[in-house]
Amino acid sequence: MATLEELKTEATAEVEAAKPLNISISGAVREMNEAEYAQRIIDITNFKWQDQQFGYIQARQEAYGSIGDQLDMQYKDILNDTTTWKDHIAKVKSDYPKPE
Amino acid sequence: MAGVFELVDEYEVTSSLTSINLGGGSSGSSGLNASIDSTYDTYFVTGSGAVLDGGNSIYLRWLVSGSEDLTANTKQWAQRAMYSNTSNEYRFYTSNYTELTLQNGTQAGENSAFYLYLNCFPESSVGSMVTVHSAWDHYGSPVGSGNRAYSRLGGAGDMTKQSCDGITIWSGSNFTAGTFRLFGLVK
Repeated sequence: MATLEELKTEATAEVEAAKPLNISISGAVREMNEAEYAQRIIDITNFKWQDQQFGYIQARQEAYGSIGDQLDMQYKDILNDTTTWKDHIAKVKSDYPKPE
Repeated sequence: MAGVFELVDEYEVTSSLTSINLGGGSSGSSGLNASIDSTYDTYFVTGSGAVLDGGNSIYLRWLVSGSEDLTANTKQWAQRAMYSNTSNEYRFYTSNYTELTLQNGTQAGENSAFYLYLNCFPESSVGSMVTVHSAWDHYGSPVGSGNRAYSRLGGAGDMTKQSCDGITIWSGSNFTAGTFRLFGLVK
């Protein structure tokens, strides 16, 4: 799990690689100034942080599969005396751990 | 004529830009000096053919008196992201912007479109809201594996009761193409 400082380093590198970033104010195009670049780094850092802190919820939702598929797994587990559904849920939780 | 949309502001990307301001008076990108105010009822935004030069997302932020509202954690948003080749997910954050798309690619032909309704923006006694509907394509790297189409449905709300006069649509990369329009619904 990356620290906020590490994510800021990543964001800074991304912004540096994307330069020049330009804006248009009242029809006049110019490159962002230092304060605007600094704000963009903050924005991207914050996004990365939020994605890291809460992204596991979204990743798990996708990986769990539909309720219908899960019910099908449970039904077959009962019929066949298997643990497919339980194993699937455990793997998803393991693959996308909740941040400490 | 009441009930029709009138074009208020418009910007077509002809040189690389990382953000496009619609409305916001003299801070607007177009030079039309348009603002979101009480002249119209609801405002409607279209973005089409939006292309980025890097694998980044597209975001929206509110403009207050022409300046980006950078107040921390004042915008709550909830959206459902649907992917053509897998399932879908919810995206829900509190920040000072909202996502319109996620991780656009840079393959030839990849582009984004979005449609937004802006509600209660000029009103200072309530928080403003945005209804988001967007779609975009991936044709592989750098952010996906294989072709897929994406769509978003949802919205965002400003938890601060304040008057907002525009929006900025921005990314961590530059837009190299795209047409962005702001319409007002005539009262």
